[in-house]
Amino acid sequence: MPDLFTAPKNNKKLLKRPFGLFSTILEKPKRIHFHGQHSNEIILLLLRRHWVTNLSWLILGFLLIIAPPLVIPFFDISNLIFTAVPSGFFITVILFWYLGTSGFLILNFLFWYYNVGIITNERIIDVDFIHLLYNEITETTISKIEDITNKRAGFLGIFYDYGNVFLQTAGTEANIEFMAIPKPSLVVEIVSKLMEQTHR
Amino acid sequence: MNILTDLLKLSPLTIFKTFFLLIEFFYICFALVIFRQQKLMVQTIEGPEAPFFRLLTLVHFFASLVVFGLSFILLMF
Repeated sequence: MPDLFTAPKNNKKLLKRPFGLFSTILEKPKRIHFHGQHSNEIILLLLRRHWVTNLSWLILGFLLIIAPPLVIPFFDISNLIFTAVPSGFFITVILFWYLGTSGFLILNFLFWYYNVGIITNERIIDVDFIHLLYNEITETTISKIEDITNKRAGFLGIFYDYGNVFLQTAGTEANIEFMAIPKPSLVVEIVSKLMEQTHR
Repeated sequence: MNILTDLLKLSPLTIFKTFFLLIEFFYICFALVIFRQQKLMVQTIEGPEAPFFRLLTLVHFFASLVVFGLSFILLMF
């Protein structure tokens, strides 16, 4: 089978895997497969939201972790509740607090990790886990893509080079959106090349 | 059981304890949903880190059971 996509030499550094597990843009990942992948289908790019978009829940998680040691001494000094409430109750509340915090962090990490955009040599797939009870998988073949645009906005978007990529498809096919992905112009360039090669 | 007699008396602390245990019970359901959702996620995108995530969500689920059990013992007796 002919190689439809070969990364340009100058892109090699851009697509380098920085942290493996925490990578936001992966080129031809060998150990990752998706449900419904054809036998001769190769994943060219796997995209996740830029790590900067995780800062909000990471900071909140950090605050939730440090909150009990900061708040408990206040209650201890003022002795507001300790006299009325048994000590066992505080232990359970603190345990539950940290359990909830761990759940919050795990859930947010899983949502980030599994909300991916996949570009293969045959099609483009957008996997969205919106919340715990709702997920959406949109896919289209490269031949059906009519228009591709990228939007980069905001201070963080410009500073860290991430943005949204919109893929408009023909007819009634659902459009695909990759939100807050790193190097959107590079993704557009790669998809455009794939479109050219497919339409040839 | 003490808590049932206290509930009949409608002690504010007992009502609060019962309410807290109820929240913890719902959290067990939530942890189970996270575990199940993670399994569905792994089926969609199969990666090398999947066993680690499965273990993580399973530990979280069992931790919720342990916390509920411990709270039940500490609050009821």
